[in-house]
Amino acid sequence: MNVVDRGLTNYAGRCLAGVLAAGLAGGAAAADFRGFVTDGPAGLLVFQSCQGASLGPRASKLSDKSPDTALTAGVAAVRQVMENAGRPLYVEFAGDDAGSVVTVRRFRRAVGHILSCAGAPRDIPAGARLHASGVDPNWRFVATPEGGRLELADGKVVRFPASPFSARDGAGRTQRFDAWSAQDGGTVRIEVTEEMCIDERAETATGARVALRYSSTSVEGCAARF
Amino acid sequence: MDRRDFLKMVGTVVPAWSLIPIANAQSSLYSGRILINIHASGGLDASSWTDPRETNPAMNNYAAAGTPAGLAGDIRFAPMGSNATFFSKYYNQMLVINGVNSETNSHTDGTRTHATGRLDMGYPNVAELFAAQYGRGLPMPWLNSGGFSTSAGLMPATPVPDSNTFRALVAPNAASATNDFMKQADLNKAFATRAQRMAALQATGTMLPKQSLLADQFSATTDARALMERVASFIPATFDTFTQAHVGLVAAQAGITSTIQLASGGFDGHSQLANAYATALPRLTDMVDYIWQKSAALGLSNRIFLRIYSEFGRTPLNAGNGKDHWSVGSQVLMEANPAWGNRVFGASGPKHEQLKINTATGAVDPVNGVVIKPRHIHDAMRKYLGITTTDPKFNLKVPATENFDFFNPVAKTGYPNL
Repeated sequence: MNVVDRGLTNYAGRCLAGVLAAGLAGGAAAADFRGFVTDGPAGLLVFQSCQGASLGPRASKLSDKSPDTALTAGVAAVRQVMENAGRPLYVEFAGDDAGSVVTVRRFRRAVGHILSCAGAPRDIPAGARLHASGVDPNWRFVATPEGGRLELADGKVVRFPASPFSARDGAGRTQRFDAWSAQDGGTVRIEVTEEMCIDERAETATGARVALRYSSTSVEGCAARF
Repeated sequence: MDRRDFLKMVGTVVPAWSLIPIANAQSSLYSGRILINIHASGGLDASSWTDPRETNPAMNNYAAAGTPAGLAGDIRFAPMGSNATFFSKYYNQMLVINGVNSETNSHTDGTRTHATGRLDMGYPNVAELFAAQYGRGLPMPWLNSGGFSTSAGLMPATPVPDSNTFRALVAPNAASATNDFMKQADLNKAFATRAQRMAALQATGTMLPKQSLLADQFSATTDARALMERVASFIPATFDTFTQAHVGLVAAQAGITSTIQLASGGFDGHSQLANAYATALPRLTDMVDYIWQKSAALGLSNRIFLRIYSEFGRTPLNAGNGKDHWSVGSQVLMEANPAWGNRVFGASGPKHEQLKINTATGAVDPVNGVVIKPRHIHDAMRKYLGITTTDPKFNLKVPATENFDFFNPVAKTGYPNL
């Protein structure tokens, strides 16, 4: 990265910090974080956020207040299967930044094979309300403000309206979404349970388990946005 | 190991007449078989290597592009990297074992399993077992540069020294791989003068007992230095690009090691696998090619048994055009002129599903067959290499009904699903 880029990134970082500070002062909802965690002494996790394609200059202590300390469990699970398990591990979560301590409220995912901020995954669309996937057979469901989209292993794609997938804060650890597709008349039921979910093959842990039923097809997987 | 330890070892085990400074001369210190293990780290995709899938575009980019797999002798290979050149050159030297179940999706566990033969801990790396059998007493019995190196208590691994350190270990006048502290000719003159003075002193016959003892000890160190210089004579003026491999081969030529473990990485292709492998595959095959070419030049090739393995295989393509971990993968065993070359033993399904293999014939045998696991390969290798141990705690626990006849030249699987 050249000097101009770094300057822009630092400026963006200061703006982000300012926005976060303002949000906290006003009691705003948790912000989204992405970056790398490293293991500190006595089980401490240290977090350094990504600012664009670069790593931010500040390292903060991570306080995991996610249900069942899902982030801590997810990080440990990914370290079990990843290559060079001691290196910094890429994570995404929602939380609060209080300067020297960043508090995790909702664990989204940890990915073992990401080596830098520049290589951070971009598979989840901005504004995604729900992003879930699984293997054997492969499937993926993504809900954005524009609508829901189910991709099945045989290549079939089914679209759903957006409204059934609106965020349901306070709905408990398990949320259920039902939607009907005008495209083919099929219905989908998605149950999302907020607990750590590991996909060892992909070196990825997420914050929720998902069971999806569409017509006569039932699949299970993990959700990185929910 | 520091120079003092090295000097002790050399002084202890190197006979005075041992090493002859000729390019392809062999040391009498250790002149047996050399085991070379190469860990393709990251989880080498079998589809990109010795178990290609060319018809299903969900499996490989080359399948989507309609590029057929290559064939060298009876061995098929993926049309990626420098595979065509590599396999065409060496198919007669290799036994491919496909459909090997690592029993894990973890890099750490897979690394250990393929090094030791067992998923559970406490078993020795095959290199350690080999070094304990053949390299005991050598200065660097097990040279290690990557992969699993935890000792089971038989023999510690010696990290492969870089070229500077290696030369400094065996040549006290060496400042680096290419430079000396003093002009060697000047040093030789000083040594010669000192030796003359010592000889003259001893010839007077007037030394006190303690003086005489010290003089004898001095002469002994002079002898050890001479032996060290013989070892140093095998060190080239410059080391090649694959320095770790070169250092290992020179150490083997000098007779100071029995086994070398190397690693070649870049195979953890979770996204854009073809791009990552465009670099990683040639790096691996070029290193193996280098080892065979260099060992031939050094007169070592007929002594080498080489194994290429990885932690596990990989899945079909994911949404990121990469591949995730899959426990079924492949291994390659090589020798210079084996009776068991140009063969494929074991197989996997269209998406690398696990298949059972007949232990005697190598045929796919869903009823009486056995899933090939690292322990089976290690059990066969231990017998082939003469390192079968009677120690019960290192027993691989392979029942007689699961003894695969990997090295039988007429037993083979081929590619039955294609």
